[in-house]
Formats: sequence, structure tokens, C-alpha cells
Amino acid sequence: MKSFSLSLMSVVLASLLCSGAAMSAESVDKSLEVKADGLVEVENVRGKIQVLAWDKAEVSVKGVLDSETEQFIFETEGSTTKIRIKTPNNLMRGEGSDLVIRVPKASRVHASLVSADLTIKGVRGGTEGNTVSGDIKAEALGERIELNAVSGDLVLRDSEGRTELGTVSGEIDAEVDSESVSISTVSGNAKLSSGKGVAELKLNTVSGNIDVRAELAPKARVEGSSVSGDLRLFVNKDVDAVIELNTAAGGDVVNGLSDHRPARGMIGNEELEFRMGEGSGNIDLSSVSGTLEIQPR
Amino acid sequence: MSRNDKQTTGHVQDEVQALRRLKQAVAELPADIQPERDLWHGIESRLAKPKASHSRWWEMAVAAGVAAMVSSGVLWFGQRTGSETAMPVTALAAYQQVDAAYAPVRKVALERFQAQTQGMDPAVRETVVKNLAIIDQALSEIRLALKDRPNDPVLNQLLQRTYEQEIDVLNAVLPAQNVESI
Repeated sequence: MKSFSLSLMSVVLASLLCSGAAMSAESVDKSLEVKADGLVEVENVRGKIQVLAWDKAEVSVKGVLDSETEQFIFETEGSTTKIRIKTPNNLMRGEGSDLVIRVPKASRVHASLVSADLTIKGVRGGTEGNTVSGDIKAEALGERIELNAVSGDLVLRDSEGRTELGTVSGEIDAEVDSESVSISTVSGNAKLSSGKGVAELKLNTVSGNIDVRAELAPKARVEGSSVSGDLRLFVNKDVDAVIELNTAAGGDVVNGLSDHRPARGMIGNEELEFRMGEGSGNIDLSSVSGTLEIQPR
Repeated sequence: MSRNDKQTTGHVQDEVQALRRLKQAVAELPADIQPERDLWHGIESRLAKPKASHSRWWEMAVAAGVAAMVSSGVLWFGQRTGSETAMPVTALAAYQQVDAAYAPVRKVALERFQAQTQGMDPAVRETVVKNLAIIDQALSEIRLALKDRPNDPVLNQLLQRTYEQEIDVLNAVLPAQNVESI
């Protein structure tokens, strides 16, 4: 009986020590040689992830793993490198991961986070970043950029390439040099400026407000829609396009680009269609009850 | 003839005329019904897009729903110009088609979410619930607008996009699932 009690105590003690070990955050400092233009996949639930580009054909992971980490995967096969921090679903205690991941500059990065914040800089091969409540700060990205958050905010700076940004309630603040930009929110507000001539612009929101300052290229195609959100475009004075702005009852059309004024319909809807220059491009904005505004930059 | 009898006769005549109009409209339905590109284009392009980790199983389910409606002749998309007047009376309004395509997928995703909320990080759960409420409010706004313009293509695309965002929100916190298991 005594030996059983001792054994039982030993088991309990060992379990406590093991769980204590699992609770403490573990440091990591690992690197792998990879293809310089490969895909780097990052999956992490909470904490802070920084992805920074460098000139080496190597991926390194340095920092502290989530204290609840069940498994840390860091492997490369072919042109794909995977970094996964697996944690239990129920994360009611402990700290998240705090990692700095360095990737080759020409990499394509795909980061899937939940409540972790993502900072990503200098990746030129394309970026797809997704979070739920975490914020995304991105800088100097290239190729194709796709950033999405649910309630997290998106900030994008000094980047170029086809850009798609989306949130549900998060705010978007983007400064890009891109020919093609798409912004989609549900209730979040968005602010975009592009230094490069934009050829394709898509804006969609339900109740958020979207402000865009952009030089529109000849033959540009701009489409925007909202339910109650406002869409404001600040474009080059010499924009060459047919411009159509339409609201249903309750919406307003504001034109500061020319002397054309909207026609008000029987049910309170407003419609305005006019041409600037040769009309090679098309700007088509519509809203149910929001304000549609076009102004010179 | 009493006043009530006259009213009844009037209703019957209205019904007969409505049925005649319906019969005429059915006769004028095209033999082949093809969906406009809008819905397909979005689904096709997303299906073609390689997914590194979270496969968007629901997109395949929506595509399957749309395909089923097309094959059964239910699906009909109005043209952007004059959609209200050109729409056959027997066809579903465009937003009803979008509703029908997304309903089963939304149901499964919401049920999966409900089943897993107990084991979920409370902060994440709260964020998801709060944003689902925002999306729900947005869907209400879109539906209200669609009451006046049921076949407005822009509003219908917004409805579709908002459904996709709702499923994306759920998908972001749920483990990946294959369409076969739906």
C-alpha cells in the first residue's frame, strides 16, 4: 500500500512538472536553406509575428513560442517551407508566440493567423495575410498582395503590385503604387492612395466609408458600390472617363470635378452621368443611401 | 348578385387572368437557361485559385448548389438593363438564387461554429460573434434595399460578397473541412 501511495505521488508530481514545462514559453532559433523564390507558409494563433525579407536563400525563425504550443513544425520540401505553431483550441491562459521570421526577398508568403498581429516587410514574391482580430502592418511588398482581417486593422505602405484588401469591421489604410486595387469591407472604413496610375479599382462596402486618392490611368475601370456607406474619389483633373454616379432614395451625389449636377428622381434617388475628356475609361459608383462624391485631387 | 358575390367573382376573374399571364410567361421561357457570368465568375476564379492551407470547402458547396439550380432550371439571372421587366414570373429573384445557393453552406458553417464555441478562446469567440452580428446587420441592410430592387445586379453581388465574408469569418476559426463531409 505504501509503495502504491509513493508511486501515485510520483505520478502526480511528474504530471505537475510536465504541465509546468508545457506552460513555460520555449525559445526557438532555427534556420533552413530554401529555394529563393519558394512559398513560405506561416500558421499561428496568437501573439506577434514579424516576417522580414533578406537576401539569403534561407528561412530563419527566432523568438519565443506560444506557452501552450503542442507542436512546432518547421520544415521545407521542394519549394514550400512550413512554419506552424500548433496549439489547443481552448487558449484561455498563457502568452502567444513572439517570432521574427526571415525569408528570402523573392519568396511568396502565406500567413494565417487568428488573434496574432502580423508585420511583414520587403517580401517581393507575393503576400497573402489573413487574421481574425490581429492587425496587419505591411511595407514594401511586391507582386500580388492580398490582406484580409475580420476586426483587425490593415496598414499597407510603399508597396506595389495587384492589391486586394478586405475586412469586416477593421479599418484599412493603404498607400500603394498599384495599377489594380480592390477594397472590400462590411462596416470598416478604408483610405487608399496610389501614386501610380490606377487602371482597375474595385470598391465594395455595406456601411463603411471608403476614400480613395488616385491618379487614374487612361481607360481606367472603376467600380464601386455601397448600401449606406460613402464612397469618395479624389482623382486627377484630367481624368478621361465616362462617370456614372447613382443612388437610390436617401443617397447623395456630389460632383466637384465638373459643373454637371445630379438629377433627382421621383423617389429621391440621384443620378449623374457625364464625360471627361474622350471618355475612354469608366467610373461607375452606386449606393443605396450613401454619399457618392468625386473631386479633383 | 350580392356585394360579396360580386367581390368573389372579381377575385376569381383576377386569378384567372393571373393564371393566363403565368401560362403565357411559362410558354415564353427560354428552353436553355444559362446563368449570367457574375456568380459563376467569382466561384470559378476562386476554385481555380490554389489554396495553401485552408481549403475553402464551402465554395465548392456553393458551386454545387448553383450547378444543381442550373440543371433544374431554377436559376435565372436578370440582365443589368431592364432586369425587372424582363424577368420571367416563375423564376426566383436573383437574390433568392443567391440565398438558396448559400443557405446550406451557411447553415453548416454556423452549426460547426456553434458546436465548437465552448472550446474556443473566449476573446476570439467574442470577436467572431461581434462580427457575425455586424454581417447580419449588413445583410439586413442589403435585403431592405433588395426589396425595392430585387434584381439589381450590384446589390446582388454585394449580398453574395457579404455571404462569402460571413463564411470566411467562420472558416478562419474552424478547422479545414472537405466538401465531401458536408
